[in-house]
Amino acid sequence: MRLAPAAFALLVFAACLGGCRTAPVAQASPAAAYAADSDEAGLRQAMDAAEQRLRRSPLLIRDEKLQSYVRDLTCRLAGDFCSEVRVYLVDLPYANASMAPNGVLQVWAGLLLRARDEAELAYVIGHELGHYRHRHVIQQWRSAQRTQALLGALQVLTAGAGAGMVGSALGLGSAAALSQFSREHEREADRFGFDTLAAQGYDPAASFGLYEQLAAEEAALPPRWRSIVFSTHPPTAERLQDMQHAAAGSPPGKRFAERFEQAVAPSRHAWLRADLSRRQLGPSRVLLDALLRRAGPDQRGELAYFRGEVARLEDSPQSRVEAERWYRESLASDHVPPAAHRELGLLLRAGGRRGAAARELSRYLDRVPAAEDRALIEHYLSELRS
Amino acid sequence: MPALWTAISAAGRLPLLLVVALALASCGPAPLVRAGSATAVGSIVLETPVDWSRYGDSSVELWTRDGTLLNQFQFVGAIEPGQHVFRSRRESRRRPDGPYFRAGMHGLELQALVLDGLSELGAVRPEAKALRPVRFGAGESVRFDVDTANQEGLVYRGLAQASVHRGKLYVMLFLAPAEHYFGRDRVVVERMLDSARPLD
Repeated sequence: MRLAPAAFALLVFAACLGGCRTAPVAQASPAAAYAADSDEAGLRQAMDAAEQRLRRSPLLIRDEKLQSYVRDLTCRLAGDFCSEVRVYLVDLPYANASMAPNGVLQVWAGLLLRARDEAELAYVIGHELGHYRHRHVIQQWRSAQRTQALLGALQVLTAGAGAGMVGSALGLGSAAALSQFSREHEREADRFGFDTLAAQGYDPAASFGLYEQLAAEEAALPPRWRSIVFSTHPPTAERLQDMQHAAAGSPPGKRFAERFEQAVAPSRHAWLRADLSRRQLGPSRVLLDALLRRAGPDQRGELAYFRGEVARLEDSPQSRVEAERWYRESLASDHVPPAAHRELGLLLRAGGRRGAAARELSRYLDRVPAAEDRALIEHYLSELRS
Repeated sequence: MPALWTAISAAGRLPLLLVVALALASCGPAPLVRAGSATAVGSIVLETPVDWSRYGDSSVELWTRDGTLLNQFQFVGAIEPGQHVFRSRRESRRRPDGPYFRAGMHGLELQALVLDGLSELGAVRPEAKALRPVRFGAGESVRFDVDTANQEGLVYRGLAQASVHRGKLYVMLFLAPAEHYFGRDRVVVERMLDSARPLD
């Protein structure tokens, strides 16, 4: 999965280590104990300390229904390893999932927002479980020990990787990043994820849906900001083709779109708002277009509103026309976010259509009498009516 | 944002204010702003009923009473269209996306600009309350309350004002822990914001 920019320094460091030969490491076995003085035990201790910080983080998603949904799914996929895995949902608008060697699985909101159904989420979790089962991090760690950079790496891993928006959640995410530089490891995790998907009866084609979505979003970024990780590591064209080929030769399976939708729907508005707050308008436009293509009637009003928001922020004469069209589409749907009235009203106000602007702003206040922006909207209304 | 937010921004750079604060922290005592005086901050003038220590230059200043972890009042002035809301960078073909000020923004857009700038620096779920119009200069001007937390979970409250004058944006942002410090200074800060006027 894509990593946030603040991890780049660590990734570059880890990439340098990628060329080192790695001693063979046996697969993890359930509830295995490690000698207290072993490097693996030390690494796990460092990760445990990072986990304590993560547990207190205000970035954690506290929606119990969603937590239990993802936890139960993970447990089914992990099988005998269920008791070792601890799931943390992190409220950051990036498509990221990672697994640390102490069993901490992080799933970020941006990934839940983009997954089409349970099968796509199951593949990502299966892929991360593959890294854990094959102990890829410890293999990379031992490579790191061959250099004198071990201490520096440990500091980065355990310091919370101070990183602005992506902040302390990366403390553990960065650990998983160590395993993302070996193509062999990625292929192994791909296979594990794919086999897990098939064993649970999911549709194997779910293995590449998210990668395709992320690739489309990446392509909408300026070249400089396309992720180094994304372009050189996980979903290389070759690996994507492998997954597509494997899926084509497998019988179709289940997707469980409905129960996934029930789990994520209550959070979608906040996640879309957070995605927009990144102000990466190209990727947001691609994301919303994808969500709109597959939206049911219940979701269309909200998604059209956010698509209008992207167009408004793009701030050109053409995009303002587009924004108005999206707001009107939102208002014509069954489930209209009240803010669609406000945004359309403000757009009309800017265009000098005073009467229509006042009507929309009044409708907004009628629908949200206690709006936090009421004083400003009333101020605009009095200007429009004067 | 010094001390409040984790040091490195999402783009991997030190926020300008942090650089300023760190540089000046090692240079001995900060200059004082005395209570009761009308003080120029860049191209804004305002009055304060309490003493503050001040750091920064004419475009970005930071004032604090008890240290930046406990209260910080930031003044970011004369932000031009295409500039980042905290003046940390300028819009370009290579960096087209970000909380950049644009001419003609309405009050809700100014509010979103400040909140998204805070998010970019690591503030956790910054939310605005009580958005209201206020008088400043000749252009759009709004004030709002801010609720957020740092990444260690300490809850902060704030007061923010974003005002446009002669085509440039002026941001004044006060943040302090919700426990004790914000409540203690809220009235003082409101009075200071009420007194703020553009110099030209």
